[in-house]
This record gives sequence, C-alpha cells and structure tokens, in this order.
Amino acid sequence: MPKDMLLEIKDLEISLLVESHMVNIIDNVSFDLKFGEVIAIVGESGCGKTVTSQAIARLLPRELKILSGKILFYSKIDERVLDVCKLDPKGKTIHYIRGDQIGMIFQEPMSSFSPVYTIGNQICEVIRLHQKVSKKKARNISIELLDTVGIPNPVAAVDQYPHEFSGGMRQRAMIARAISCNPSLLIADEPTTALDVTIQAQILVLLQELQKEFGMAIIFITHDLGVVAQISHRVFIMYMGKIVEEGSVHDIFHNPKHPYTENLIHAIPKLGNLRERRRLVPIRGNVPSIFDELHGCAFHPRCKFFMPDKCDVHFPKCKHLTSNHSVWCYLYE
Amino acid sequence: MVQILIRRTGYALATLFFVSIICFIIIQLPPGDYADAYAAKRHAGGEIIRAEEVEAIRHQLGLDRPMYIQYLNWMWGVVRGELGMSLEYKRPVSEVIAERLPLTLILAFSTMVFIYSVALSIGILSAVRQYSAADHFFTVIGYIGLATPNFLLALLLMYASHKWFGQSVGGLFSPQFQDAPWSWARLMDMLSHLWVPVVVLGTAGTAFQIRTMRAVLLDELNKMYVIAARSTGLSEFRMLMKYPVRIALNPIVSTLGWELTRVISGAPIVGVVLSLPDTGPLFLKSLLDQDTYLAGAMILIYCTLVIAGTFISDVLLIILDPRIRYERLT
Amino acid sequence: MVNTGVKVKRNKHVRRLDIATARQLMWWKFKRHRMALLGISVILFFLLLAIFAEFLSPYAPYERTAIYTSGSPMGLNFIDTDRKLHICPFVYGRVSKRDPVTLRLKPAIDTSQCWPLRFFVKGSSYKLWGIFKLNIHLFGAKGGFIHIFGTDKLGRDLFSRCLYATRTSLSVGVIGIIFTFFIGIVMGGIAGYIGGMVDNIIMRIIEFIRSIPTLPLWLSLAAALPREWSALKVYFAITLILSLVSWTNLARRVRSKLLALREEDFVISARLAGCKTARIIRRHLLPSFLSYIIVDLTISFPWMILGETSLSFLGLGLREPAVSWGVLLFSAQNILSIVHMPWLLIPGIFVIVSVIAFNFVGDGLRDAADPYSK
Repeated sequence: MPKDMLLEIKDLEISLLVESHMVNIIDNVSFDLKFGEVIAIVGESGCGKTVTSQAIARLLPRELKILSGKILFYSKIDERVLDVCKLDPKGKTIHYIRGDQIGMIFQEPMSSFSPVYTIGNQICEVIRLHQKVSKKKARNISIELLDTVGIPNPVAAVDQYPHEFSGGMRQRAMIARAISCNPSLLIADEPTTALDVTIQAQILVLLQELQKEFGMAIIFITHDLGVVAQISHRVFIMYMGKIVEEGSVHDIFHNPKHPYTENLIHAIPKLGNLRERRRLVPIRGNVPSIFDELHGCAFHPRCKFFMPDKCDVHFPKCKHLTSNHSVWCYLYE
Repeated sequence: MVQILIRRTGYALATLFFVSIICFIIIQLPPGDYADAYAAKRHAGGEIIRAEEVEAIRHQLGLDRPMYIQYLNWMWGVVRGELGMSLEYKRPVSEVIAERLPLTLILAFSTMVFIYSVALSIGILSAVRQYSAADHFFTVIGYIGLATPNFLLALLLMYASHKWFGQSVGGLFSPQFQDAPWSWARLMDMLSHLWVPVVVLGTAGTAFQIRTMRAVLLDELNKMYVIAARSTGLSEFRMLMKYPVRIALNPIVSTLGWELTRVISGAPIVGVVLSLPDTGPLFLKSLLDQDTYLAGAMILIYCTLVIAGTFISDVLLIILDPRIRYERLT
Repeated sequence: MVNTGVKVKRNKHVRRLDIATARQLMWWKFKRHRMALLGISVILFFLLLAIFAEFLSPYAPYERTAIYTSGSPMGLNFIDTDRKLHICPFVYGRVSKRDPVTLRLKPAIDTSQCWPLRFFVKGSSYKLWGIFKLNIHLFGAKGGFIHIFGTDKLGRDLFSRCLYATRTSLSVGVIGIIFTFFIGIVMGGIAGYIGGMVDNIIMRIIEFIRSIPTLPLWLSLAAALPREWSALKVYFAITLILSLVSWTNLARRVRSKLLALREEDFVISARLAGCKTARIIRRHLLPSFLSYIIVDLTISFPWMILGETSLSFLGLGLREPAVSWGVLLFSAQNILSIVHMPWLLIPGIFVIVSVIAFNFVGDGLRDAADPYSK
C-alpha cells in the first residue's frame, strides 16, 4: 500500500434499475488519488461523473446499484483502509466518513441549503456532529470558516438565511460547510456551473487557496475543460460511463490522444482566437441516451476516425503512452 | 412581519364582516319574521293573539325598521354577545349555545390533533418507504377514507360496536355521568367516549393529509439540499426530520385552516348521528324548525371558528417559513 | 445527423414517444393508470344501472310487498335442504309468523318452498326513458317475490330502489357539474378576461367562499327552501346549491389559464410565428385547457355526490318521494333501525364505491394531463 494514497477506485460498475431492467451507468472505472492531489473528471452531462462522485460517499439514489468493484478509502486518522462499497449505506462508519473525512459541494448553491434554517445553524450542525464542542464554540468556528471562504461581515452572515445570500455567497458558504471538519477529500461536483463567469473565477481561486492551506485532495467534476486547466493536476476524460483518456493537464491540453478529448478541446472558446478567426468546432451529434444499445466504443457514432467492425464491436484496451498518460482507443493499438 | 400580520388581520375582519351579512340574510330568508313566528307558536299553543300585539312585538324588536338598521341592530347585539331569542327554547340564543359550544370546541380541537398526529407519521412513513407494503396499505385505506361520508362511517361504527361489543357508542357520556357536574371522573368518561366522533370526523381529513404529506415529502426528498445534508454525515433519521420533513410541514400548515373548515363543516352531521350533546344537533334542529336567530348565530359561530383557525394557520406559516417572514421587509 | 453510416439502434418505445401527439401521450399515460381504468369501468357499470334501472330492477320503486315488510335480504341458493342441486338458483319462500312475545307479524324463512329465479319475467309495467311501454324485468322469482337487498319498513324492494337512486344521485352529480361548469367558466372568464378591479373582486369572492364551512352553508340554504316546493324544484335547487360552492376551483383554473394567454412563452412564440388569436386558442390553449377542465370537473364530481347524500341524509336535501342514495340512507338514521335492519346501509356501499371510482379516474386524468409527469 503506497503511503500517500488516499482513494483507490477499482473496476467500479454501477447500474440503473428501470422496471426490472439493468442499464450500466458506470463501466469498469478505475482511478486513484493521493493526499493533497487535485484531479478532474471531465465529460458531457450524463456521462456518469456525478454518479461516480456520489458513489464515493455512498450517496447514490435508490435506483442506482453498485454491481462490482472497490472504492478503497485510506482513512487519515486511524490508518484504516475501508472499502466504501462494502459499508452499510445507513451505518455508522459511512456517517462518520461523510462530512468528517469527505466533504462535498454541489452544482446548485441555490438549493443546497435548506431555506428554513440560518447558514450558521447548518454549518454548526456539521461541526457539532463530528467534534465535541459547545454550541458557542461551534458558532465561533462557523464565523471563522465564513471569514476564511471570504464572506464579508461573517458575524452577521452567520445568522442570515440562505435566500438572503447571492449565488456566489451561497457557494462560499457551502464550501465552508464542506471543509468545516477539515476533510482529507473534497468532492466538488460542478461547483461553478450555475454561477456567473466572474464569480466562477473567484470560487476557483478560493478552492485553490483552500487546497494549499489545508492540503486536502479535491476531486473536481466538471464539463468545462477551461476550469480544469486552472486547478487540477491530473485529468480523467469520461464518456458514457467509461474513462477514455487520463493524463496530466499538460498531456491532455497539448497532446490529446482520444478523438473525443480532441473534440472537447476544440470546443473551448478562447479569447485570443478572435483575431485568428479560428472557428469553434462543435462535436457532431448528441450524447446518446443510456438506453441506446451501443457496442464497442460508445463514441463511435460521433467519431471521425470510426473504423467499422472494430470500434463498434469491442471496447478498446488501455494503452499506456507514458507513465501517467493512458488512452482507450483503437487508433493507438 | 408586522405588516403581514396587520394585513392578515384585516383579511380576517373583512371575511368576518361578509360572513355576518350572509348570516343575517340566512336569518331573513324564511318567509315571515320573528313576530309572525312567535305569534304562530303561541297560536298553536291555543292562545289568541291580536294583530296589535304582534305589531307591538315587531316594533319592540325593531323588525319594522329598514333592513340595514335591522342588520346594524343585530350586529350591535352580536358584538355585545346578545344573539337574539330562540323560538324553540324561549331563552336567549347565547345561553343555549354556551351550554354546548365547549364540547364542539373540544371535539374540533381533538380531531385536529388526531388528524395531524396520525397523518404526519403515516405520511412520512409512506414517503420514505415508497411502494412498500405499508405504503400500499395506507393508500388503499386513504382512498376508502376519502370516499366514505362521515355520517356513514359513524353509522357503521355504531352498528359494529353494537354487534360485537353490545354497547352504544353514541353520546359523549355514560348514563351515570349524563347530568353529573364536571369532575375528574366525568372528564375521563368523556375522553373515553370522545375517540369515536374524533375518528369519524377525522378520517377523511387524515386520508387527505397523508396524501399531501406523502406527495410533498417525495418531492422534497429529491431536492439537492437532502443530498447535501446527507453528505455532512447526519444520520438518516435526523436528516429526514430536520431537512425535508421540516420543509414539507409548510404546505401542511398552510392547509390547517382549510382542514379546520372541513372538520367544523362535518361536525354538525356527526353530532346528529352520534347524538352528541354538542352544537350539531342544536344547529340541525334550529334549521328544521326555522328557529332563525339560533341558526344564524350558529353559522356565525362556525364561520368565526374557521376564520380564527385560518388566521392562526397563516401566522404559524409566517413563523415557520423565513422566506415569507422577510417577504415584505426587503 | 450522423453521417458515418452507422445506425444507432433505438428502443422502439422511445421512438413512439418522440412522435406521439399530446392526446396520444395522455391516453397512454392514462392507460398505464390501472386504477383509473378500473374506476372508469365501475362508473360505466353504474351508468348502465342508472340508464336501465326500470328493466334491471324487479320492482317499481314504490311497489310494496305487504307481507314482507322490514324483510332481510333473500340470499340465492343452489342447494336446497334435501341436498338437491338446482341448475337455476332459487330463494326460499317467506311466510308471516306471529312473534310469540310481541305478538307482531314477522317474516320468517320457509324452507319448504323454493322460488326459482327466472329471467325476463313480466312484472309491473313501466315506460323505459318515458318512451317505450314495457313490462319485462331482467329477473324475478317464480311463485313468490325476490328482494335480494331486503325491503324497508313499507315492504319496498331495496335493490330496485338502489338502482333508481343511482339514477337520481348520478344525475344530481351531472347536473351539478353542468351548473358548476357554467358558473366557473363565466366567473373565471370574466376575471381573467377583464382583469383589474373585477378580477380582484371575483378572486376575493372565491377566497371568501373557500374559507367558510360548506356543509353548514349548504344546510342553511337548503333549509330555507320552501317546504311546499315540488320534488323536481327541490331537486334543481339542491343541485344549484351544491354547485354554488364548488365552482371556485374551476373559475380559478380558467382565470389562470386566460392570464397565461398573455404571458406563456409558447403563446408568444406562436403569436410571433403569425398565428391568429383564434388559432392560438384552438391549437395551443384549448388542449392544455380542456384537459384541466375535465380533470377539475371529475374531481369535483364526488363532492357533489357526497354533498347530496349528506343533505338528503339529514332530511334537508331531496325528500320522499324522490329516491336517491341519501334519501335511502335517511331511513337508517337511528341506531335502532340499523341494528334491526342493517341492510338499510347497502346504499352506502354504492356511495363509497362510486366516490372511490371517481377519485381513481380523477387521479388518473390528473397524472395524464400533467405534461411533466412521467
């Protein structure tokens, strides 16, 4: 067991139950994460990135079942290795891990807080749940946290209701709640998608600062490669429940191998491109529905390098290009 | 918040005003007035009454004055607690009602407590265990409960208890306590009888509120803040109670006044069937006898109860939901 | 589209969903609602009972069997006391016996007589729907009488009376719904179309009506009806009274839909696309509108039935000689009559079943009409 390992996901398979049918949502996904590392999982909506993140905290909705695979969590406090998949989703251990060891922030800051309690109430709750402190102490910690995440006048803010906050402020408060117990892993599920561009940048900077300050690992889930470039160390590209390419930020941006990654990068608008009149290239076609029966590589109907009788038969094997750059595509076999 | 309270109070008073007009109209609806009815009554008793005498009564009571004056007179009486004379009982209406009103209030209150305590727990259970056997069971019970008119339920209960327990469930007191003064034993006796009308009166409302609670909670369970709360490591039960259930309470509380309307609305008929010593039979009898002042006063009281209940539920909602509380301040 | 020559196999069901019209979608959703289909069948069955009441009932509603007053339901048997199997079911004969204690005549079962069930028998003559003069009834007993639901104090057949009552009670519902429909459309239409002050006043009226207890209001209005009115007049007055309270839901719906005419995106886009107002109303508003109206009316139907039943039960609604579920239940008002004649509660089953059926259909329609439900 490597010493600095935090999370290891091995051959994860998750299925959706629809009227006694099983549809695979996550297919053979494996990756790992070290202490203090920031990784990004990138893909279009519906590719299974949110499901993966929710599986780590066992927060999957009832219809989604983990079929096989392992999610190993290396607990920082008692040096235990836990297979999250084997835990009782309503048991004590998972409740201890959630909030204390794994913090989460979500896509919609508007609806991530209950509208009927003050922000302070909802942050204190988490603190008092995992640490034995008095109400007053918890309140002071909350105020400190709100200050840390950059909320002006935190002493007043602690008694305010979520609807009195703007979207960006609420996301800051959400981050405060997620890091309140100093977790070793922060899962950020599209934390900037619902925000204005200027606020997006602020939140990203904040997350980066917090990461440096507290040294936690972050799993960043996004469909926006631009966001990824700024913050993460390693990137995983997902398509239809499978990882199709992984590598460092540099690899992915300057040496993309999978046609899908390439397409994604061409679809990013860049300010500098206005002069060069380089046009944005949209990816043709749409993300297929999970109910479509697709064989082989799921990207083949949209791929310009499609090879009949190859791509639509079996999913390609992993090709290691360098020590940490891998791709799953027949072009490189 | 004060502003909202003032506005709600204004609404309640305005509604009360219109209700009083309706009641007055209802009093005036039957042909003839109190003097005529009084004369007819005496006449039926074998007395001979001269036309001048009738006229004198009419003048004394102000019944020969214009309508709006009569209304104002009546309203002035209502404000002072004088609701006119009952033809049947030959006593002031207020006295007749005062004897029976406490029981109606107790009945309505207990029924509301019953409805909400049962409906909330079952509603939560049904939503959390959606499509389980218990959920299906309560859904079926709910459909039947909604479809059974409460007087029919009362009849069935009466028949069942007679058939299997050999005792009558009518009334609110055992014979030995019927006319006894209030005491601890009498209170206990009443409570042991009270559950029948409470169940009868509350079944439809309970069925309805279970459905509401279940639907609202199912909606809330899909919201982001539930997952967010779960991700903090709260235990499932505490999470449920503090987050989705607490929010699902808002629509439930907002139907409180409406539910009270239904309970008050059903109370007379249940009172009649179960022959309770509350205002129900009194009200029905007054209608059948065209004892107009009594009937009008009863409707006024029923409506006032409902308006007061609606007002309370509005205030509760303001307290419960910070979004409404701050609506006017920002 | 994809031009790689590869066809993505799509689920057939998915493709059908893509091209279905709104009405088809509604029908599919409704069909999936099994309880709603059951409800529809029950309602149709009740309608048949109501329409052919004269033919289906063995007796006229006021026809009395003098020797079988307060008689219990007569069960159908196949095997008699001699353990002989009868192909055609029969009922045992009934005789009047003097009670040894009270010395009153009481009906008793006489197992020595078997009255076989016969179909299409001649009985009292009637005019079906007031047109065809007939005297054929679906069934009857040869050699005696048959009262499968028992009789009331006057010896009238409860089964026949239940059928006639079904007709009355359902028609009260239908006519009440028609009144409701008109008041609702007119008031909601005025509020939504004129808007402003008028809208405000109508909305206040609606709020007011919804905030007062309905039954006491119904009761007092019904009590104010002159006693000397004919049964028909009372009938219409009662239905009108019932709809005076129930129009508010529909009016609200109509108003909000009319207001939506001005604001909805699809209406604006239709207008931008050059649609005339009439076409917008016909093509875009009516479909969404109509289904909601149907849903609202279906949902208020059971309230009508329950209202009529409650009023008549208290003696303030329909009265004898009218026959409705509530009127029939009126005779079951006190504990003594229920204890001695529990079969008088049978009309209550009709009430419960019909209301459940309507609630099922209402739920099914509501789910089907909601474009956002799955």
